[in-house]
Amino acid sequence: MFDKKNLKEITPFLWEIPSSYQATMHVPARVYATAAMLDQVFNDRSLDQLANVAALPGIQEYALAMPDAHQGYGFPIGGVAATLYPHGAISPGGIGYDINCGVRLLSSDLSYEEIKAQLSSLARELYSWVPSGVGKGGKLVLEESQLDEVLNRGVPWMIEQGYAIPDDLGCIESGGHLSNANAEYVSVQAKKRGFDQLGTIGAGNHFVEVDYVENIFDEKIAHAFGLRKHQVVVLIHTGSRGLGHQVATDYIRRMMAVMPEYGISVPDPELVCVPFNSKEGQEYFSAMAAAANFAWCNRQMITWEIRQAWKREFGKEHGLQLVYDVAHNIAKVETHVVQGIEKKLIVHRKGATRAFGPHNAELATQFQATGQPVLIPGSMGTASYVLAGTAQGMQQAFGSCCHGAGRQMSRQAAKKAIIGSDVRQNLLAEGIHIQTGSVSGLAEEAPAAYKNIDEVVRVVHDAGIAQLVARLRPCAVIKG
Amino acid sequence: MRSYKFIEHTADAQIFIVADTQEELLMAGLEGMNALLLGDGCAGAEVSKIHIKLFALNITSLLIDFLGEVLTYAQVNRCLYTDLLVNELTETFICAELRGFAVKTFAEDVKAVTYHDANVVQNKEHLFETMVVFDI
Repeated sequence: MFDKKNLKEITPFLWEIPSSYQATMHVPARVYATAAMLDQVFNDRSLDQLANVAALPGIQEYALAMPDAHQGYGFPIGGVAATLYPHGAISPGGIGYDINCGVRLLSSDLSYEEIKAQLSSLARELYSWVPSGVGKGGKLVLEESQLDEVLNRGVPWMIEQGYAIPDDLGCIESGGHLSNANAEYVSVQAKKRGFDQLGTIGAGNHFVEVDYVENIFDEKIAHAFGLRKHQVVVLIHTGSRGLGHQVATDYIRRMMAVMPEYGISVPDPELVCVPFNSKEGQEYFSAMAAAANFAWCNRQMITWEIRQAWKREFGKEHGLQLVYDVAHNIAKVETHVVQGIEKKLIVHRKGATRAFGPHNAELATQFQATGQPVLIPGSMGTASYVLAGTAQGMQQAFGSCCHGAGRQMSRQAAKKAIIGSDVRQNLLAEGIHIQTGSVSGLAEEAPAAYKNIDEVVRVVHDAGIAQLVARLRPCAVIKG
Repeated sequence: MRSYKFIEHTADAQIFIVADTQEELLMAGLEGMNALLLGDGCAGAEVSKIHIKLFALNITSLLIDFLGEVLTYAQVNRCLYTDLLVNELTETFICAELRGFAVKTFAEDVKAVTYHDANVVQNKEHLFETMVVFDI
């Protein structure tokens, strides 16, 4: 088990595990955390997992853990690793089972005071429009050819179907579409798990949430993002549903069988990997991209559902604009400077968010001066944050940031200690209206089950890898 | 002889399974996974029979791949597969049939059966045992 003597303090917010710690490490590992947060990180195996990540073939610079890091499968959740293109490893464990789980932020032209009296009815309206709950199917049931279009083309297909507007594209990471996607590499079983899931949030920690902007930390950037104090906004958190889970399962199994043929062995089976430019690596990357496109279409369909609910509640004249949409379980081919040299890398982000700084060619015009919006949801009842990517983050962390608060209490412990109906009542007393299909699920997702989101985002801000822009407070939450 | 018990896990679900034979170990894993899927619900009429044929690297991978395959069918067919008839079983191969019973809804969204912490060993009493972690 780790303790502080295994780590070297780089800054009060950045600690390093030297590559000498474990013989298999090719590079050091770094973790963003305060000294106090490290004590929590030591309670699980996230740092052992991070040290194992540093053993991936072709890994560059450091294996990174964000301040919300906790134990995952192979990679810690909150982990970032970049391997050298084209021969470096691609590892499905560095993306996760819920491919392109991510967050989307919509902004309205309404203030909290204007909608306060209607929150209960708004919550009910949203709950009726957005399917939620385990295995719940959506309104849009796709035929095989349509599903292939979704997988191959992503959000541009949704525009053609009338579920998105062209302006949405510039506000989605990668334009809501990865061009290397190929539906042929997504299995029949994965497609069967996805054909009726578009427009659904699922269960667990996925949600639709109405918030208001409580604080603005940077007026100029907030203005550029279209945010102002007391403004009502909507957050969506969900991913690629069963389709993405199956893609991950299929390729983990496939890579397990062939990895030894490439002369690779890894300290943890969930770190299974193959060279990026191998047949299996390329097919996985195409299937992962297809699942990512599905997730963006999922969040787009949910956006359409929310826009319908909004119109019914507030009338046609009040619309919802897309601020941004980020993925926090994905791998991308990106160019970064490594020890003064520009290199093409396969950047794995698992429970970590892309946070590109200003003047990055991938960002739409409106974000060139500010850097990319970064969306960090907290638990219901606490706060969520909007940040902006920074140049320092590009240098230090492959343009990456944390993704949320991370659990600190097991689901079983939460269900024993907390009563779901009490959570609902307590949140209502704070002005937060909950609509859910599972009251016991509320106990599992109670604020006390999660780490302190304020501390997590403060670390990334103080470390300089992202910059605080706004703090959001929930007022209505829809969960499965 | 077989048993499963749930072990506390911060973010997901895990079971510890013990059995006196490899086949019983598969059943213990299946029962644990089904308990997670069904929760307090109940299964209805038989609606599905599936045939599974899998090769794997070793006894641990076979267990995880078997449970993963059953989970996929369960999710696709909206069934709980409870009855296992093994036709052939070695440490690296299984050929089997399972009967599935309809469920209205699952209690838990089990995304995947992971290889995390899975390591089938024989303990001092010569019983097979391992942890199985489910991503939920």
